[in-house]
Amino acid sequence: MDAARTGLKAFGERAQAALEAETQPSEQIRLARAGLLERVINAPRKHAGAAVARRWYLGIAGAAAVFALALGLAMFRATDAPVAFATQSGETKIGDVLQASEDATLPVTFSEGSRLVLHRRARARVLDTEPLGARVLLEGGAVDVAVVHRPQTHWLFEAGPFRVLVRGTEFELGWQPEQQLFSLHMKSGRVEVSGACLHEPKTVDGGGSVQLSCAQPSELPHPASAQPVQESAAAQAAESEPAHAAGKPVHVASSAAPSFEQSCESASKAELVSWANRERLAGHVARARTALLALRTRFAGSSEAGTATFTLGKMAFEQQSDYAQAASWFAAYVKEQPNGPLLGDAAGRLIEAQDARGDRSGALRAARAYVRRFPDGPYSAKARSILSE
Amino acid sequence: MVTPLKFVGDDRALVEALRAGHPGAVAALYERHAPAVHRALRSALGPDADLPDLLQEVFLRALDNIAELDDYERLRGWLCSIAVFTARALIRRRARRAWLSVFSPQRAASQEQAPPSTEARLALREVYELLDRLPVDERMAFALRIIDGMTLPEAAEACRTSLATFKRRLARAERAFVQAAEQRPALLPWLEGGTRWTQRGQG
Repeated sequence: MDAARTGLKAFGERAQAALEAETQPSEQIRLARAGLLERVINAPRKHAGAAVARRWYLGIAGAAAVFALALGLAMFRATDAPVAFATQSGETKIGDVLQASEDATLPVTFSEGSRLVLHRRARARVLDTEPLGARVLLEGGAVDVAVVHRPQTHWLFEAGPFRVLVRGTEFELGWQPEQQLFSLHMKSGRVEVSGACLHEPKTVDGGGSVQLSCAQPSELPHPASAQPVQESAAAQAAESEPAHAAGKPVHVASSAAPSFEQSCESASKAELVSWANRERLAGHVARARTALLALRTRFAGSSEAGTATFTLGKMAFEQQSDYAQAASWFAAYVKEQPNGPLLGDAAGRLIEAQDARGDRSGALRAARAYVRRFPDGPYSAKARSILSE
Repeated sequence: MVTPLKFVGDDRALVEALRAGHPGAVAALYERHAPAVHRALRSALGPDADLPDLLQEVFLRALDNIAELDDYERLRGWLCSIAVFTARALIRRRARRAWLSVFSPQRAASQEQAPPSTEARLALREVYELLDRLPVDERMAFALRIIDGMTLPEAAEACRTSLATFKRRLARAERAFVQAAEQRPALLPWLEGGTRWTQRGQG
């Protein structure tokens, strides 16, 4: 290797080392992964590969697919066979104990796309399966449930004396056998809860939570600080009569889960930055906007708030094609962050946004200001072309 | 979030699994090849804050076009070629929008911005300022071969060009870059023995 080649090789190695130090590759890779998997699972892609893409969320063959692929078998097709299910350890059978360890959750995936995640130390069994559903017994602990909605979906969860009939929804289900305490927190959709001590099924909608017990009130634990109840009318009617007699359900506590907007009102700065990035990369513009606005208002003056302002403008321009809004955000950055690290880019993009929305006078003003401040900046050519028109 | 079932198998099995819709295959594809793709993007573009977006875009494009891959052994090279395509498109898009700048918005060049806090950071900025001035094909050749460290065949494949064409682009890029780099004091510490550069050909 000649001297010049050796020099270039060493130069390249130094540049690569500096890049490694400058970026946070593992964090960037992790961030992109989360967004990628969410988009692949939740957003079917319409193009030549659509038939393949649909199968990603229509069918999960579980561990059986691993074996099938190892043998070079063809793709999974929906059949009349009952759903199959598997954990990371492999395929499991009806009746097998599903036990999460002390320090890790246990995901369980089903071939029709639904999934469970047993919380640490939780224990459950799949009692029965059918083509579009299953019957699951939660013996203890809590489980996150995500059931894929289809017209014929039929999932049944049993927790103590309570049953939860599911059509397509996400929720967290809990059962504490020592305390005879049933809990349900709905993330989305609607379920119907029935039980030996319920006069009629109780409907719980997305955002709602309930805790129920068929035990005597004296046997119940002290309720946690209760939040205002938000229940359906049917649930309220079912609990209007005295609930102290043996076998009657006791409503221990009920509260509505915080929405994403509410969570943003109390999240830390770091959480808001993380959520905004996650939602933006996943394509959830509205939620990303919520987190970014929270950063701006709750942490005004911080560099993160400044970056949030810039990112709002960038999202408005690139993802929403709302050039007026984009111009407004870029102008806000220029005004609020006169020495900010994104000043040059904000001032330059302001020109573009004004130009794109057809605001000739706005574009001229922005162009003059830009050339005055950044005569050799990356947007100076654009600015000068507008000034010369 | 549920962790998808682990996929087990070589790249051939992985591609078949992707085409068959195995849910763990997407995660396996990403985990197996994301570091290399990220490295290629980063080498081409520098420390760009849009890298996570671009990384995602590369894999989405790959999943969209997985049916086109006919040689399983070329999976990584194929992914890197998509990365190069994505980076090239971004560079051209930014050039159309803002003349020369290809820095991340967070590192936009501004005479009034604070200088980089470290020598390495300054040198890195200088490197990519020089690369900005090269034609995009020559830039890619230099970035993949010199900075990323790909072999000539790997880099040529990533650029979807013949080895001969790639070598010509690389040679032009090296000449132009070295000539410009010698005028940049911030890059001198990175150059292994400054005289070696001015005494090219003298061994």
